[in-house]
Order: sequence, then structure tokens, then C-alpha cells
Amino acid sequence: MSTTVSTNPVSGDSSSNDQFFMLQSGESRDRTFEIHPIVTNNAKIPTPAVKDAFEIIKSAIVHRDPGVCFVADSRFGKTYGIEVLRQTLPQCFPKLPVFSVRAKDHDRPTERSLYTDILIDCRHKVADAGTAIARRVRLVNMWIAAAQAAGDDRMVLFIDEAQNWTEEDYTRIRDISNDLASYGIRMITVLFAHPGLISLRTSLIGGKRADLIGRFMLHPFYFRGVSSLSEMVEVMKCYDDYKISEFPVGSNICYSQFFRPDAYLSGWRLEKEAGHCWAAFSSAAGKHSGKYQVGMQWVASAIRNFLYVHWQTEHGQPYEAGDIWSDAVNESGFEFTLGVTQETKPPSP
Amino acid sequence: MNFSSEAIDQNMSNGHYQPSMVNGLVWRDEWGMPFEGPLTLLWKIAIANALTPQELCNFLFHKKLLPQNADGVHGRSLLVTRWMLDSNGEISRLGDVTRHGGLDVFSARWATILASDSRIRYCELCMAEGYQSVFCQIDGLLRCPTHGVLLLDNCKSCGSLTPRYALSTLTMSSPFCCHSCGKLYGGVGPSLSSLKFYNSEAAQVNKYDILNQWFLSLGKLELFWPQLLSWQCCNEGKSGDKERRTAIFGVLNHLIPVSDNPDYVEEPPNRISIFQANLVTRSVSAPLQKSRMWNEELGQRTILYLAIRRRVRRMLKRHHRHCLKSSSSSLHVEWCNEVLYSSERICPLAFGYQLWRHHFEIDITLDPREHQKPNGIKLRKEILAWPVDFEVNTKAWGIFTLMSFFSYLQVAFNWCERTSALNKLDNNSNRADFMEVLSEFRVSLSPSYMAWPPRITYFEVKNIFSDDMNMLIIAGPIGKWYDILSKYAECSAYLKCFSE
Repeated sequence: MSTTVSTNPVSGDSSSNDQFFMLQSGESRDRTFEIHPIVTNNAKIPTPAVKDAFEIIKSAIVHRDPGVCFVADSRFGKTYGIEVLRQTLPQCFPKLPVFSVRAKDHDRPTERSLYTDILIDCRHKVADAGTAIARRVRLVNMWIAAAQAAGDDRMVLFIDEAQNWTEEDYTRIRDISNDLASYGIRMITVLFAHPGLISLRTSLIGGKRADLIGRFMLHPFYFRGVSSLSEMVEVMKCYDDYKISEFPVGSNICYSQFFRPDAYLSGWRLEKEAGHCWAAFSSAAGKHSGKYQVGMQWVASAIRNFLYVHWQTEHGQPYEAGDIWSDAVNESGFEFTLGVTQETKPPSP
Repeated sequence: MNFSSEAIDQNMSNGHYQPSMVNGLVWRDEWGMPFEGPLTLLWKIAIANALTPQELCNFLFHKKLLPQNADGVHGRSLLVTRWMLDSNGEISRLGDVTRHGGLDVFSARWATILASDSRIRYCELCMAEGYQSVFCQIDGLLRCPTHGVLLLDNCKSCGSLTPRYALSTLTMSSPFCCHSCGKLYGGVGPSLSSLKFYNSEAAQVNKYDILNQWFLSLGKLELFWPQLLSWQCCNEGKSGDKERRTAIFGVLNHLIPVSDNPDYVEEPPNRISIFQANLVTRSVSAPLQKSRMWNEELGQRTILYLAIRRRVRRMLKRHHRHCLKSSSSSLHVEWCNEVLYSSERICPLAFGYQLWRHHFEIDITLDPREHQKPNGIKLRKEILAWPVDFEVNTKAWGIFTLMSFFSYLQVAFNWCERTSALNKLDNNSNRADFMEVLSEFRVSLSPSYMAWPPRITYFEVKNIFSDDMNMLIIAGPIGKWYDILSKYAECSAYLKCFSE
């Protein structure tokens, strides 16, 4: 990355010019701030958990395992993790058809509601028309055609909020999977769920539904939050690397540089703040008992609060004396949110 | 693994874009084959997306089905697909795939003139591949260019006629299958459940491009065909649209052959002959001079007519003097509308001959000795002026005269065939069934309704070989003398028995 951006805007290439205007106070920078992923809470960071999940999913796809299952508390970044995973999978499997659905909770889950939900999430135009059989055929055909178009014998289905589906729903998905198998297509499901799924799994084990357990929930993996200083460093490094966190697109400006351009030019990096940040989280979590992990929701929120302080300082509102990171963590709501801690040991299968 | 935003952004399209989905519906471009008609394309869309006909029409074109069974072009025709566009002339990409299968896309001018949507026409071998070309809807096309087999418009299993070539409930209710017996039109069919609609071998051997090329060549010709849709190519009392389409295709095929194999093009039901004549372009502009030349031409036409009439009459008298004589007494001209008819049994040759004269001559006398006073014969102005739109030489007019004779001969034969089926015709010409037949033939029996026989048509082809060479094509019935004589002999024998 060029470090001369603030000195000569004319001589550089177009990205250097963009950098110059983006990092200098002015209307352009303010407009960019309004839509910045940090501000809109839309930053998608490949956390260590996401990277681990990727390896597990990759292995399942290669070996054509019927499914893998990830469990995590709310706000641990499952949904964004799915987005990152879905967008990254084509690097290893360029033509692999990948679909993503979000399981919905219904008062009376029916065949029609299940198929309609999936069709809607798969962006099928005719999701809410016809009989249950017609919708089922529509769904199966959509996946057959996708596999045919890809020239692959596999397809991947990400299921977010998988705890919302009932035993009947999983049975229907199993039937569809069997239908696809009869056409030589293996459906690989990737479940992301709230720990409530463990209850469902236990119930299925009790009901001797080995077919569903073996297919969808054989080994639940924990989709963990940030659980150590080193992981916090790893996360914060992503904010410092424009190859991972670039905004605006093509500007070569990473998230941390955008908020503290002068400091960044002087050698400051967000990763150097990881110790302070982790200490603040440790301090807040220490008030509760048990082992703890920090969900990405609070990590991202604390980092945003921290960077926002510097943004305000740049705009003439100097920060009053105090520990910035403690305040940033406190404002994230980490301390007062139940369920931020969890056992790191996975449940017995 | 690279989790950089650059790498992710490059894969954004892969993450969200599915090559098997177009406009939110399951579709793969490979499923469409060259020159495939909208019918099989829509069938494939309906199968792949499990859509009913209503849903298909609604989601693809934002329109409702039309319960239309009337003649003419269907409101949701797959032959002419302009209705698929919305009010702004726009259409979704998938809708456009089907729209481009329509025949009007290849030729807006000839789509409904050469083809119809009254029935699905198909090649069973193509249908077995999940394919039907819109060119199969051309009535005059007899065989599939790819497989050389006859095109069908009924089910081979149960014989039921195929439904309309339109986006209708009946047509879409059973894709690739007969709506009546449920069996596949192609005997074997594409693997519908596994969506294997595409056959690369079938695409390679596809020969429907010859029709595409033919339409391109046809589009380059400047044709002026003033009475195209009033050309009568069937017997009286029938609509004759299909016969006309077949005949027009035959005439155009004569001009630009579709294929080297003549078996591919259907023969029109009434034999059509085609003559080519160069159009006369006079360099005279003075009105007087033009008028004098025109009068000379009229004189020559009259002489030519008399020569043809003399020859025809001589031939008739040689074998059937009795029929000619009796026709003068049995034929009757209605004073109000000049309809010439006979309420008695009559020889079709004699009737055709008199009908021909009736249309050509003013104040026709049915006296068998009329040939002895040729100076008194005057031809009708309209006949002499044929074809009005163009100026032709005497030879071309002579062809018209000869074709007219055969046209009226056909009318007479049809008349005799129809009236002979009526019981006890005798002299009761007020019978309802007789009046019905007379009503059907009225236009052909009187010069008051149509000055020229509607079985003859003509059109101008501009710049056909060179920039300044325009040609007139005349198409109409002309038979061979020995064909006429054989029929003549039968009628003669019959009438002799009848009179005796």
C-alpha cells in the first residue's frame, strides 16, 4: 500500500488519488463514512472460527459427507460467517452449486411452508404457488438443474437458524436429498444453529431417528467466538489489511486506515490495540463466572466504538480522559448480555 | 485459503448467481436448440418449474390465459409472439428466449400467411428429442428437414388431433404428450424428470436452418401480391385457409426452392400451375399514343380469346355435341345477379365452358350456333383489363384466359358433384338444400360478384435478376387435355344414358 498518499495526489494512479480524497477531511470522506461497513455494522471479517469452519466444510464437500453442523450462541456471527463461507467456497470449488436458506419458525410448520421458505431464499420466482407436490418438484428441479449446469454431482445447502426446523422438516429435507441422490446428486447440508439445536438432536436420538442424526447432525461443531488474545490479534489484523477489509472497493484503504489515516501512516495498527481490547473484555467478563468467549457482535461493536471515538476527535470533539477500550467494550453491551459465556466443550454426540 | 476481499468479490457472482436460474425460474440456455419453437421451450420451462399453464403465462409474461377457440390467430399464439411483450414493448430475458422462437421473428410478413396455430405440427423423431421447430407449423412443409419423415398433426397412438399451437390450458396441460391418451408424441421422450432436455447430437444434425435461410432469401425479394388473401385454393363452401397457405408456400417454393428434394413440399389440393411473364414497361407518355396502343392490345386479346374458345369448343363438339346442345336449354341466368346455373343434371364440361364464356362475354347467348357470328362478341371490360395493377403482354393475358377456363371447369365439376348428391333434383329449384348449394357457389357463378376467377392469383417480383427486371407470376389451375377428356368421356357416357 502506498504511504505517500497524503503528499502528492496528482502524480499517483487513480487509486492513489481516491485514497488522497478519501483520507482528507471533506465532503467525500464524510459521505463515505455514512456508508462504511463499520458504521453500518455490515463488516464481514473472516474470524478464526470462520476459517476453521471453512476447513471442516471443505473436507465434507470433498468426501461427500451428507452434512455438517455448527452451533453457536446468538450474535456470534453465524449469519455473516455463512456469507463469508459462501463467497469463499468457489475458490476451492469453482462450479459447485451453493444455496443458502434461513430456517423459519412457524406456528404450524407444513410441507408447503417449508418448500416456500426455501424457494424464496433460493430466489425462485414462483415460490408461493401450486400444491405442496408442485413446490417440492420445483425445488428438486431447481437443484438438479443447478448441479447439471455446474457439471458437478454435489450441491451445498447452508441452513441458518437450523434450530427452527422440526423433525418433520428434516424428514422432508432427507426425502429431497434421497430424490437428488436418485439422480446422482449428493446434497451436503451445512447447518448453523443456536444451541437449541442440541435439544432437537437429543430428542432425535431419543426417537431413534438415526437417519436424521447421521445425515444432518452427526458431529456438531462449536462455532466459537473470540476466545483468546491471539485470536483477537488475528481478528484485528483483518481490519488492518486492505486485502481483507477494503472500503471503498478498489481504494486500497483498510478499515482501520480510514478511521485513523494519520496514525496509520505513522505506523499505528489496530492489531496493536488487541491487548487493551482483550483486557477490557476480560475485565468485563470477569464479573461473571465461567469460561467465556466473546461473540463477534461485541468484538465488532467495541472496535466500532473505538474507531468512532477517533473519528469524532478528527471532527473536533476530543475524547475526555479515560480508558477508550473499557468504554468501547462497555458500550457494546457485552457485560450486560446474558449468554455471552459458554462452555467450550462440545456436547457428547 | 484466501479470505481477502478481492478474492471474495471476484466470487460474489458465483456465490449468488446460479447459472441454472433466469429471471427467478429454472432454465438453462442449453435446453433451447436452434430454431426451436416456443412450444417446446415453454413445455421445458413448465416442467422444470412445475408450473401450471396459468402460472406459466402469469409469471413469464404477466398475462392471463385466454379461453379462445375461435378461428384465426389465437390471442396467446406461439406462432406470432408479439403478445408476449408488455405495453412498453419490454420482456424478461427468459420470455425473450421463447419470443424469439416465434415465426414472426423470422418473417413478420409471412408468418400467418404460410403457417397457422390451429394445430401443433411435429416430427415424431424431433419430438422424441424434446424438440419442435416453429417451421413445422408451415402447412406446405410436408416433411421434417432433419429426419425426412412426414410431419404430423395428430397423435400416432390414438389419432386425436393435436391442440392449438398456443399457450392454452389444453396445449400446456400435458407437455410432450397427447392430451387425449397421454402417450408421448415422440414414442419415447426426453427424460423429463431428470431435466435432460438437451441432446448435442440432435443439435448437430438439425437442418431447420434451410428454412431460416429460405426466409432470409424471401425477405430480400420485393413482392407485390395484391390479392394474396382472396386467392381461392379449395372448392366452394370451404374456408380453404389451409389450402391457401399450402398453395402460397408451393408458389414461393417455386420461386425460391426450400430444398432440392421436392417431397418436402406439399402439393396444393387443386393443382396449381405457375407462369412467369416479364412486365411491360412502355416508354410512351403521350395519352393519345398510349390509348391507341391500348386499343390495339384489346383487339389482340379479343382475337386470342376467340381462338382459345374456338379450340375448346371444337374439342368439346367432337366428343359431346349432345351436352353442349342440352346445356343451352338447361342453363339459366338469373336476371338480378347474373348467376348462371342449372337446376337439372348437366355435363360439367359443357357447364364449365358456358360459365367461362359467361364471365368473359357480354350478353352471352347460349345458342350452340353462337360461334357462327363472332363479330357480335364483346368481352367484358374487367376481363380485358386484367390484371389492372400491372400492364402485361397478350401472352400473359392468354395464360390468364386459359387458367380461367380451367378454373370454371373446376367450379362446374364441383357443382355437379354437389348437386348430384341431392335427391331428386328435377325441376324443383326452390328446394332448401339446392338453394344452400347455390348460395355457396353464387360468387363463382356470376361475374357480378367477381369479375375474375378467384382461383387465379398473380404477383409482381421486383428486381428479381437485375435491378430493372420486374416479373409477374401468375398462378392458377391448368390441367392437361387428356385429363379433361377422360372426365369428359365419363360424363358423356353418363348423360347419354340419362337422356336415353
